[in-house]
Amino acid sequence: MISQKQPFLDVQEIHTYYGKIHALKGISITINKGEMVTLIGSNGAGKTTLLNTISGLLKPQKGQIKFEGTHLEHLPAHKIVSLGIAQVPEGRKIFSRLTIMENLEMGAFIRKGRRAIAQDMEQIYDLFPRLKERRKQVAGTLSGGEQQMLAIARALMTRPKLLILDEPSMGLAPLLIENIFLTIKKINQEGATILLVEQNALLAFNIACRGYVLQSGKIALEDNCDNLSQNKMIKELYLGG
Amino acid sequence: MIRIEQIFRLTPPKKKILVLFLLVLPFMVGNYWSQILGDIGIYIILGIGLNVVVGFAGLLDLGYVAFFAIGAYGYALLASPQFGIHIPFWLMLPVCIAFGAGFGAFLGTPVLRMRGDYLAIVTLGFGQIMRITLNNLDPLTNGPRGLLRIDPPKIGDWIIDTPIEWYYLIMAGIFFAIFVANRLNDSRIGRAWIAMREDQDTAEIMGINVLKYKLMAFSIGASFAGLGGAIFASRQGSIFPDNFSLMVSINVLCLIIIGGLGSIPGIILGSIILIGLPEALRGVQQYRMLLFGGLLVIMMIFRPTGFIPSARKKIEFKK
Repeated sequence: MISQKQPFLDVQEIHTYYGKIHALKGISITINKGEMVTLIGSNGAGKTTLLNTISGLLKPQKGQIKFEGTHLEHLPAHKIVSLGIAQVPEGRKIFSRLTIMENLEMGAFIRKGRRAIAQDMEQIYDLFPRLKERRKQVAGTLSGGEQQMLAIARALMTRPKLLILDEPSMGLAPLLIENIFLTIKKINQEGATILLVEQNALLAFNIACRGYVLQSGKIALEDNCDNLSQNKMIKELYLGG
Repeated sequence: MIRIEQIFRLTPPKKKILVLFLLVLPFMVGNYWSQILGDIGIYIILGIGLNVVVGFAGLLDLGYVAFFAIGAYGYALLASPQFGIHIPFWLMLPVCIAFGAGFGAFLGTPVLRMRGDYLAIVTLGFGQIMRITLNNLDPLTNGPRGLLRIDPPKIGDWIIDTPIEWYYLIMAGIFFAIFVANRLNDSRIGRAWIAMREDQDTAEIMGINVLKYKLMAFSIGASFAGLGGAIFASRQGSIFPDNFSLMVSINVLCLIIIGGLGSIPGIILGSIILIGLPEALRGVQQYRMLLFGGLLVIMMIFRPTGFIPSARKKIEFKK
């Protein structure tokens, strides 16, 4: 099924610095179209740095990033969005003083065609009925889980080909996490390629098909999720024995 | 609590009464007060412009006076005996607006990469540089001796030179400025500004070119000052570098804050309070700074969102 030509997203040997800190030390990952790939690692391993480098908020010192054959490493973040990469940032970063509807409209900022946007909004409300009930409410008044849903919904409004999620389970109750992960799976099944960053490795392996393990700025392991969840080192480090 | 904003939330018949009131007002108050209303009016135009930068886009600009000076000197140089050039006022209005916008973009390009406090300090410096340059660029600006006998606007043979005539012209300028500002706020550009104000990085990953929209705010804001400057120069008949001191920037910023950041009725009220009040109480003028300071402190305690905050700012402040 997976095309043998070029990968959908191709990150080659990138080095990114935070000031003088060498945060990513030559990272390569690839994602094929339609896949859900997860990236796990402990705090400070460089997960968010990698995501921000892909989405253009940080610039790599060396290496290249190609998305559908287009080089991303020198493009500003706002251009990368219009190529079809949407990011759900860590800590959600919703526009807390705008209403839910206004947040979704911000997601559609790069798009033209009111009718298509309105249709997408309806679809998103079907996916997240809670958001529809509260669409006129100010987003800051939502619960953590609802805010996470809104952040995902807002990213979907850009009509992404690749959706990048940065720790969607952070700070949420287990029941909500399960709910959100089911939704992510559904989004993937409907055709979007997904890069999921998680600390909660067990959950991530459950829904993703391939995984990378990031350790202090380097890829330590790459395998399919079944193998990864059986891996001894991973069991010790990330799955709690 | 007294709801000042209700006074401004007008139904259509009230709107007609207001327009009628504004039309007959100069005849009711006479020349002296019409002159002061004109002063207030110019500050309203400046306030609406700076509000685009500070209130809409959330960029603290302390050198706004520089663009006011560009408009005023731009007009004065091209419509006075200084070089013997006499381009008509009506033609110069769009030119001065363009001067303001152009200088806004020119200054904004290097400066807008900075955030918050740094931006405030650099713009503050630019405002000062502008005044000092006008003072020293003698061959062009006549230095501290200023530019004199600047042309008044003419309609056919009719020269606009009485305070009452000026009142109407400035009023037209205000309505134009309000119209443009409202349209901007409701537009796609306005939405980009809101997102930027909330969170720059998130705006960027929504596909908003933050630098471009900042530059637009800066440049559009400056164009209002260009308009105000042209009106000011033509109305005064003579301008001097000292007309463009730091105090102008501070005054405009104060009137926006007192009125309610982001709200146009607030700017109008703020101008009336800040510019009109000291004129009305001439004896108090010496204590004007004291009053400003006191008023600002009292405001921050009792009405931190200003007298008439915009609906959105009210929400923003609660969080």
